[in-house]
Amino acid sequence: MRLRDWALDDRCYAVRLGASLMGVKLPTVTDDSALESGPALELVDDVLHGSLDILKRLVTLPDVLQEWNSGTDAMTWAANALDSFSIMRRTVMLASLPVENPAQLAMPLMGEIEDRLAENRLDGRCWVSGDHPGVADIMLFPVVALSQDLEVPLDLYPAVRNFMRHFKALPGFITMPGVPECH
Amino acid sequence: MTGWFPVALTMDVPAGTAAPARLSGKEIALWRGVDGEIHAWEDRCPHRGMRLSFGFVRNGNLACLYHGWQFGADSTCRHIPAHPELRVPGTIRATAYQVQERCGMIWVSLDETPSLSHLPEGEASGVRSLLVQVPLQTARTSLNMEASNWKQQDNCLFAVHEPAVGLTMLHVASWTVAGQREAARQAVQLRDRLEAIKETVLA
Repeated sequence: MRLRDWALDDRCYAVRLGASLMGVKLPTVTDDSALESGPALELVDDVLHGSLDILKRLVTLPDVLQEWNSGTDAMTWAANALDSFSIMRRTVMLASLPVENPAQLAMPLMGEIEDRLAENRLDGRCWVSGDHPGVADIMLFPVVALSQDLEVPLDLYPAVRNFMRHFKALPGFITMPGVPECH
Repeated sequence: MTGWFPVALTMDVPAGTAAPARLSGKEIALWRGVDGEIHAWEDRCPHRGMRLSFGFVRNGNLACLYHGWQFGADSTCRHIPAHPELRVPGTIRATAYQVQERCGMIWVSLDETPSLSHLPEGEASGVRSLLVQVPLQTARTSLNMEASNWKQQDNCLFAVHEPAVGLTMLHVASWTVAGQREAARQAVQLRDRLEAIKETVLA
């Protein structure tokens, strides 16, 4: 098992992060195509594409003891959020000229995430997956943590900040360029 | 800008953490010591200008992320890691603002406005803060806030502040657990209505 990876890609980071949190040792190989098409997991007889499918496979590994599953709705929602964010981020970061007010691109998505997290908080839960962190939370984290690349002001999203603080305290949390260990 | 403004909910700055806030574009670092005391300072380290809201709370001090200068609760610099033996001059200090916590919210005054008054008594709990992408005055008018930036409705408190021009943060607190969901629902409904009107006008 090996991950075709691009270190700066948000979708690849979601997979590396998930593997680390689940305690799965996942060898990586840098692959240019992952920048465009996202991560791919090489298996003995197959190749899995996309963060969601790869994370769902990791969860089923016998060494993964903790429950990391999220509900189907939550996983689909988080996967869509990650995909849309990833497109926006690549649009901004790979643009030949600076994009004016990039935060405006991401703010509708950030508002949607904030609403969902704030509702969960009223129920006493800080995870999208419920009482425990799951695949949906793992896919959501790169979106909110890398929103700074689009200059999103986090003072406007307190439930997102609360989610990030709890997420960074999880055992096995790893960083990537643009995601510091603190804050 | 004079007066007291709600900039965050108490629950959004837990003990031992720092958080950013803005008040009409003025950047503020909120931080809470492990003793529970809240502080509101200009979000700028006097050393190199780094945002203090990126800092860490250590030993009752707020430490800047950049070079680790530590500032005590009275905002004076207590420790410079690069010069551990130095007795730091008292003139090196962060700019502190007046801050109070009332009704589950953190209220800040950037000037010498006397103590916060008029607010209802009793311990309210924060429900949520949400961004409304309309000017502050529009939100205040819709909420029937006459001359103030807060309104009590049933067992809930709605309060607003302007992080930047054209944006409003609506803070909601409740005196009862039962009223929290309804208060949050009303806030979301208000936001959606105001933003829809704005979209229609712009279209």
